[in-house]
Amino acid sequence: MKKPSHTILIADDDEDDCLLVQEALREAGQEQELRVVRDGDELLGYLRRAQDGGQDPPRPDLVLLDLKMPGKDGRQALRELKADPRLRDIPIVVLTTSSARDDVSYCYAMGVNSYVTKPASFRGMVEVMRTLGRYWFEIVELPRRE
Amino acid sequence: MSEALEITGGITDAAYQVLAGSISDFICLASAHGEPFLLNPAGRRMVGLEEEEPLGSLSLHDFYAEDSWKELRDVGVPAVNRVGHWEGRSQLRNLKTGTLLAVRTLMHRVRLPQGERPTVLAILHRDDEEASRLRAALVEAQARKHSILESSVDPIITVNHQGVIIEFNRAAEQAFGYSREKVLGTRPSDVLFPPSMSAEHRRRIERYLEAGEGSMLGRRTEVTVNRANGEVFPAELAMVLSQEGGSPVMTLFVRDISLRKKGEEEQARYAAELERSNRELEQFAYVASHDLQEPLRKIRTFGDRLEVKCGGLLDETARDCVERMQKAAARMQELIEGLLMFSRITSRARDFAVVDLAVVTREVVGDLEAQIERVGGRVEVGNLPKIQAEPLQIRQLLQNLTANALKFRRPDEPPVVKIDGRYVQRRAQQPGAPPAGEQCRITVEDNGIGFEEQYRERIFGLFQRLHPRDEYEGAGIGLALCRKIVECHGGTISARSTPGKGSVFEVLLPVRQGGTRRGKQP
Repeated sequence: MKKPSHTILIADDDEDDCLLVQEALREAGQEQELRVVRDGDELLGYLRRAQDGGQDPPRPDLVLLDLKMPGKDGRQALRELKADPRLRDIPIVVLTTSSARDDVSYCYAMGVNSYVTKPASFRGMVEVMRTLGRYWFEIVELPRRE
Repeated sequence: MSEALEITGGITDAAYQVLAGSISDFICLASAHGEPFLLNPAGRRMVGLEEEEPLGSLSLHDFYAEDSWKELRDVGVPAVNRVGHWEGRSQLRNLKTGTLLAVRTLMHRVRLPQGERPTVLAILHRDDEEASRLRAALVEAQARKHSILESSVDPIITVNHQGVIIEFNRAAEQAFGYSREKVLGTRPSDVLFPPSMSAEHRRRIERYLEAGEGSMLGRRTEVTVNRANGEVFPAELAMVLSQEGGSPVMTLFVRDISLRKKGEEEQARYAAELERSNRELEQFAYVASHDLQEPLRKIRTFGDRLEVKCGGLLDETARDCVERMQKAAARMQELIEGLLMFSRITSRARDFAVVDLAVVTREVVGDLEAQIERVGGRVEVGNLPKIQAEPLQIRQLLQNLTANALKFRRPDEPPVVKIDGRYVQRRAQQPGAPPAGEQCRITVEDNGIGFEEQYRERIFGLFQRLHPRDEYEGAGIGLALCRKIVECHGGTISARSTPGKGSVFEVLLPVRQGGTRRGKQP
């Protein structure tokens, strides 16, 4: 097993979903460092702390963002962090149950990098994680940390 | 009048023509011996003479009924000779038709300044019948006006130029609770209108009467009026200005609209209630579907994970159980998604645009290409027109109908689906039918299994299915969606079928939608 080379930040208040994403990542062979935040405020707080320096918490290479969260939800958080010049280069993939037209178009308008609807099967989730991992960590050039 | 007329100055022919020609009375100059030598056009008409017909061979005798002539000769002329004039009644005789005309008569002796006839008779007749006809007509008109006033269901009040009530009909007595005697001579603003509007109303009426115009002239206004017992009621007021005896009078037409008002208010309340209840229902369905989906998705995902990770540890019975649970969960998800889709279609999303049905249908058929090929079917698309509609909903409608037609095929027969559409004129029929006007009729015809007549309504119900799932898949939502889409466009959908032969689905949609945001017309 190789050492995790990337950090994935999961923003989701649902423990079941966090567990499923973690298991699916492992099943897909994506052994990355995982961090979890539970709502929009935590997400922004985490990213700002990571930005301000130090190794802890690590700046994520990819954020998996759920839209439906208590308090500041994914839509608001997305708008704020894409409006923040220091944070907007962090790739954000929305991972949500909603396939509503409004949500999809809103997120892309806000500058989200991808929009994925949570698959209804574990096999589907594994497939999504495998593809995301391959795309973001093998194919794409990510912004460099200073 | 003087004893005799004396014409001292000259009278020119032209002046005579103007004077005599424009008068509607009979004017004749005749010699003292009764020979007429001048007769004006009105006179010629009364005795049936042409405009230029010479008078030379005629005598005054010819113009009168025998009795009248005798009276003129024996009473009239001697009186003229004696005192210069005579007044009486005569009967003129029409030379052509012989009909008699009763006239008033005025005869004068006229002294001309020169000429061979120094003294002549001037005879003037006035059509008595016309005057009496006018009098009779006036009496009739007044009687008619009175009966209209008194039989009117609505109160009618007339106010003279001093702003005082001069007419107050029976309906007004009933509506306002005042007797006519009590109200005549008062001002409408004093008795009929609540004090709050009296001042303004009085000003308006006064301005109206003075200027002969006003802001309310010819318009209907809603006002509040007083009854004698202190009650007030809403009324519609119309005013009309006319002349009576040379002075302006204003007639007020008052209509009690309290019943109509009440009806309108009730209707508005029902509409608001219905709107609210519909909105709540849609919201409920949307939220329920969303929130139901979350745990369900997890059941499916963890069930799947159980199969993937632990499948080897389970025996056949356990694997069968998991599989059945998974199938049931998948079906539940299908139902919820259907419900969600159903609740998303609302008539309030009035984002109408011009939709080319031919283009949409071709796209739908393109999307279904794989399915059509798999079953060896064929879809024939006719000349479909353009309509104003919500584009995504119309696409869904055509998609569902076409997919249905392909799905319910006979096992032994490749499906042939015919989609057609054209404009039709439609008269308003039974309540609930779309309003009259131009409609678009879309038909989707298939050669499939069809359905029994008794199910032609049920097939459009939500989650209604006619066949077991293992024969024809589906959640029973497609046609329910179709109906909702069609109804949101103010249209209707119906189906007819011969079992074992095929079905025809017919959609009627208005060509234009009212109250559109984009406002384009097909």
